[in-house]
Amino acid sequence: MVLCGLALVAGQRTKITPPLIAFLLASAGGIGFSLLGPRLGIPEALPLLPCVLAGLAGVIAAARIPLRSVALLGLFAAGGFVLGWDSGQDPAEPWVMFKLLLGAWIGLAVALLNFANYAAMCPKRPWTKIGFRVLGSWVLASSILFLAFTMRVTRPNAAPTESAPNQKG
Amino acid sequence: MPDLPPPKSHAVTRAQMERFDLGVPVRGISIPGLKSRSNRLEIALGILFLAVTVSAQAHSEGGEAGGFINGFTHPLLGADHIVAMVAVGLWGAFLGAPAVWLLPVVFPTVMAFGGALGVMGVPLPAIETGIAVSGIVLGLMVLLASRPPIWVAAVLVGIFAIFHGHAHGTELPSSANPMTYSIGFVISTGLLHLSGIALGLLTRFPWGITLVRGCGGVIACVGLGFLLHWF
Repeated sequence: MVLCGLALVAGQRTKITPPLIAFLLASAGGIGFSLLGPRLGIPEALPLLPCVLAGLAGVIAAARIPLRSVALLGLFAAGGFVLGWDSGQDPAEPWVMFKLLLGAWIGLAVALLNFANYAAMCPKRPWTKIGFRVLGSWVLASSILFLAFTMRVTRPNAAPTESAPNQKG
Repeated sequence: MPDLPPPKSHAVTRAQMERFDLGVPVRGISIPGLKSRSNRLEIALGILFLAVTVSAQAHSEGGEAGGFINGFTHPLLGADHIVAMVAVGLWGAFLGAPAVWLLPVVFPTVMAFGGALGVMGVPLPAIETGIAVSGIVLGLMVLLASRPPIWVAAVLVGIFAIFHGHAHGTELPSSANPMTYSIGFVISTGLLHLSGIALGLLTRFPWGITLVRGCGGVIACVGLGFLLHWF
């Protein structure tokens, strides 16, 4: 969802090379930072951070919020860093570890470059702008729901409530 | 006047097929020149049998795929939800730009907030009544071709979206994968909106306006039926 959200944001812009470079560098940094995970400890909120970033990207895409280049760079860098950090692997032999992390980085890079390229290739027509907005709202809505579901899972005391009998929805 | 050669037939005969090693025509497959009523009947029966077959249930619906399927089918299993989603798209198409994209953007976003409230256990009164009223109101808006200011339409749709989202949020299967469930749920809801928009685009034609307004009337009646059912 983060990748889709960032690709939508990139597709709404004309100059997307600097943000993509920021993403690639930051994701490499995040993957490297994940090596320090056993020492620093992995925060419980780490799985939620990609969701928050996806929601942020969804808001920006759905509302077509104009961003300054610095903010755009920051968004892509944050997304790359968090995804790279979240792609950490279990400890293994150095060479195996290197190959695992390199594969994770290549996967992130290829995925975002593909999505962003396809989004940027879309013709600049009114219907594509509407489509990007709608897709951005879907990314945002999915992120919100996922956050809520995850927080319910992490809070065992928060059981679902029965709002009405024979509820069909 | 010289004799003209007989017109060439484009039909493939059995002899031609055998000469060019095309094999012997298979029963049930329509080949030019070899059509018969029994062949057409067999094809029709074959299509009929294919249409009524169900997928094999060799694998249980679990994990990520099960989560997506659960989420995708959830909005499609409630008629009250379907009519409201389609009504949002219909009304948006009826109102034209920017409502045609604004309402389908507002609804899933606010619905997700409602779903989060339901998941977190925040109580909301009269959920089913609100869902039924959403069908009535949105259907009436289409039926009466109402054109309120865009912010009024957005707020109205947003209020109803909270009820729909809350109802779905409380019904999340505990075994479902949250991520894929959320994605499937939102995509399904969005596709229902798009269905409504596609139907609403018929308003470009004079007869389409009547048809779309008639659909609004049907949706209002369905909502009224659900409301009476709950009382």
